[in-house]
Amino acid sequence: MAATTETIEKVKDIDAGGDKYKYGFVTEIEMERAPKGLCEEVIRFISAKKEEPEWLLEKRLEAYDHWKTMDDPDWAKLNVPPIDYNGIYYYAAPKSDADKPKSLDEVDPKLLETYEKLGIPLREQEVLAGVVGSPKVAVDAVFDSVSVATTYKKTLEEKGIVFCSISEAVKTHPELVKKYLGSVVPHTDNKHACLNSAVFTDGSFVYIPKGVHCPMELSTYFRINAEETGQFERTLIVADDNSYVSYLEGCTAPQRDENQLHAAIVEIVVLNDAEVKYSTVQNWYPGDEDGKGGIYNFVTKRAACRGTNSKVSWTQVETGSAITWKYPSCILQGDGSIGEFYSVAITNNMQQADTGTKMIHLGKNTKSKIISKGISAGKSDQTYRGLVRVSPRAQGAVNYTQCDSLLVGSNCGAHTVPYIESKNPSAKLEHEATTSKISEDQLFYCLQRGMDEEEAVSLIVNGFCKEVMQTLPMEFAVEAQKLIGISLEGSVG
Amino acid sequence: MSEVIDPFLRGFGYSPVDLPLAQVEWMTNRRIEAKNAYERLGLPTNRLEDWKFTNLKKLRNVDFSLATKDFSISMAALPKAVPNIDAHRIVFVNGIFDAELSAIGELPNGVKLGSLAEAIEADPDSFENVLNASVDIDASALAALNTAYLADGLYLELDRAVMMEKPIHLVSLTYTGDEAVSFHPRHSIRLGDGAAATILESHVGVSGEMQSFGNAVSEIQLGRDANLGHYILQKEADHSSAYGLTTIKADKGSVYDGFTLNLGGEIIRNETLCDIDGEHADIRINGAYHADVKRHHDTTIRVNHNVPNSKSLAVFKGVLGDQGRGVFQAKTYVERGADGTDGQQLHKALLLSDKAEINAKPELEIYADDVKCAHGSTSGALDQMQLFYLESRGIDEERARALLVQAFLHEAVDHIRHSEICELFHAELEDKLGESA
Repeated sequence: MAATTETIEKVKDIDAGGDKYKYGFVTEIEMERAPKGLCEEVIRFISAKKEEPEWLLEKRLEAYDHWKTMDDPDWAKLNVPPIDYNGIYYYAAPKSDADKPKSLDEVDPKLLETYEKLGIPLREQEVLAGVVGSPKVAVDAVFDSVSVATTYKKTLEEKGIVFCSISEAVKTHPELVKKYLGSVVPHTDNKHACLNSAVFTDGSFVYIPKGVHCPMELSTYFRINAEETGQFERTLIVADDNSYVSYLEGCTAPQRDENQLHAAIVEIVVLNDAEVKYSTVQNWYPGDEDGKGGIYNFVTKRAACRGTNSKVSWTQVETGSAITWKYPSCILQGDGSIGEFYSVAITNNMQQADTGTKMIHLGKNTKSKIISKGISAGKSDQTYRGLVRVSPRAQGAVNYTQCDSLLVGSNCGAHTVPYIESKNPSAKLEHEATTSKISEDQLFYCLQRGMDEEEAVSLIVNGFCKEVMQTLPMEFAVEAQKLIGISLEGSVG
Repeated sequence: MSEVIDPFLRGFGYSPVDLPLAQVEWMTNRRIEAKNAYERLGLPTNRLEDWKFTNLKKLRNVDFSLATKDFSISMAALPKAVPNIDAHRIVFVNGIFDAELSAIGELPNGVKLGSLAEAIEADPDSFENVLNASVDIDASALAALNTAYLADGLYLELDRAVMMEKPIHLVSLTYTGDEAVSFHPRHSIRLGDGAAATILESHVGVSGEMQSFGNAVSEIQLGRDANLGHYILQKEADHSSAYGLTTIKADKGSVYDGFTLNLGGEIIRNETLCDIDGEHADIRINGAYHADVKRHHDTTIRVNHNVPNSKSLAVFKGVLGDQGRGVFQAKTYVERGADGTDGQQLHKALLLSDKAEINAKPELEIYADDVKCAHGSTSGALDQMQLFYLESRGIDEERARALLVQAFLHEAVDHIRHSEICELFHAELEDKLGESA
């Protein structure tokens, strides 16, 4: 009996302690970091830090509750080591200067070598490497004198375009965020998306008003405060009737990043006659040659073409990350809407990538096009996984899919897993896939003209990817071409 | 899986002692092992990736009884629907050998052809390591179920360098009397080095009011440079469902020419699992299907290129009318080091009605760089231009449609290398399309 009472007392003590602890969270706004691990308190802490309204906190908590019941997706052809969700800091204020390298001399020379090859100016290199005192906005370094970013911001404001961080948007445009956030990717979608819904800390918000053609390419790269975007990035793009925007994500230069797990969400809503072009170059740390370290990139990207004649075009160049799990998709709801997916994925060493797209045809006369180019080298493994689904209502739907794989060396793998489901006889679906290696003839031709083998491979691979590279915005395309060569380094001979 | 009441173990209770050949010890042991594996796996559901598109729910609530030898059918002659060709004919009624309807005739030297049950009974030991050599009962529930009831089927063995001139005609009749019936035949086919044979399999439904489920497993082993033509004609009755697993082990230089023409049945799934274990093997798994009414035709193929320099081809064409549903899942797997592999897949589907549905999943899994692998898949309605062309020449729309459908499927049939059987399949197709047009 005595023992029981004692236990009850103890539990009461712990309870009380717990309460205090919880209370402490809310009051101590000055805290730099949420404690390690994931629990309701951490989510409340993040929400409080961001000064979020009640409805958003509720959304987060709902997602967290659901997350606890979900299993890690295991259907992809990936070998993912178990993730310790409690070993992660879910909120950390931007790093203090003390942690950062003081000058480029302190930066890993290998990284600098890569910058050199990409032809990145010195000042910009400092930004990328996160050197103390480097300018906040990368473009400042490039164009100098007037702050380009500020100029950009002004032009955008004049047009009524909203381009800011998502936390800012929650405060300035709550009605838009409330209406569209989570409407394309609900928190129930998959475990990674659910985690993001509960703990997302930063990301971009874009709203293009009716009839506005965004005069410049929007990029996270240009956005003020773009550094430390965080591992749980949340992007929401809304293109209102008859508008157009081209959005760039990422950077061709390898990014220094200590977070291992990245679970981002990108949601795009496209209304009548609007068009969104979303381009990504992803070049996160892929781990070393033996596959140690490296980023896990688990991203849920989805666009809803809600309006008639709306259009979404995804272009991605994936060269980084140890593990990539990513399927930018299009829900073609509006009649006559168009979805496009262009992808180049390169894996080398021990990298793994399972990537592709989903084209869900719901509206009449919807069209989709998928061009996927996969290059595997070293000991890497790569899978194209795509779904084309035509619902009974989607009269006259058209899809064309082409996925080609190129293998470099005999220790890698390339796989193609397309799902084609049609419930409408007037739909026309075509799918083609090939797998091959670099042709000896092409290689011989290049070598004979005095190129070395690596150069030749880079040239041939660039030719293989040309169809996709052409869809990239100009300034990205040039760098991306070099990037392909660099990613394949050491894979020949 | 406990919530699932099983239709194949429930109806008659499983008792290995009552099955034929229960006196053979290894057989009984293997059956019990397989029955346990089946109980563990349960009837496949849509939750399994491999069964994503084919649902066996309809079978769950049927009271199937097991076809047995005592189940006597008075059949004076073969039904007319069975093709008449000059061949060594071996007939199975609900999976059980029927000596009276069979006409095996004179066999060349070095050929063993007959009932598997009889062959095992005569020499049980020689089969212990042969049966199930290529069947993984822990991976496939239906193969496990087949093994649990393993008894009869076709037994064919050709000695080295024996060439059979006449084809073998395997006739499988499905007969349902007053009750739903299930049967689980096992066919064992082995060709010695340099041997050659042709098999025509005709699946014909005799009476169709009650449901039936045929669950067949064919194990095919091809020696060096062996050559097998394997042609399947499926004309089951509307209430008959069937699963057929064919495993092929192909040695160096062997040739397999397969073609499946699916015209009848309710839920039909043909699964082929081919292991290429010798260089220069040439494997062709082709076919055509016509799924009208509420038919569901599923073709699932996996070809493993385990060694360098081999070839595989899978070309399937399907027409889906009414509420017909088609599934095509093919996987070409190229093992590390299997350079020089040539693996091609092509699937084309024609949807003729608003309620028709097609699901395709052509897969490539490749671990070698010097390969030529490709797959293509298309689906759509009849080409309006072609229709217009015919109509502009005075052919009415209905007839023009029928012509285009015919042309679409007949083209696939041309892949059959055996000329007589190729003609026969053309004729069968014409019959079928003539009747539905």
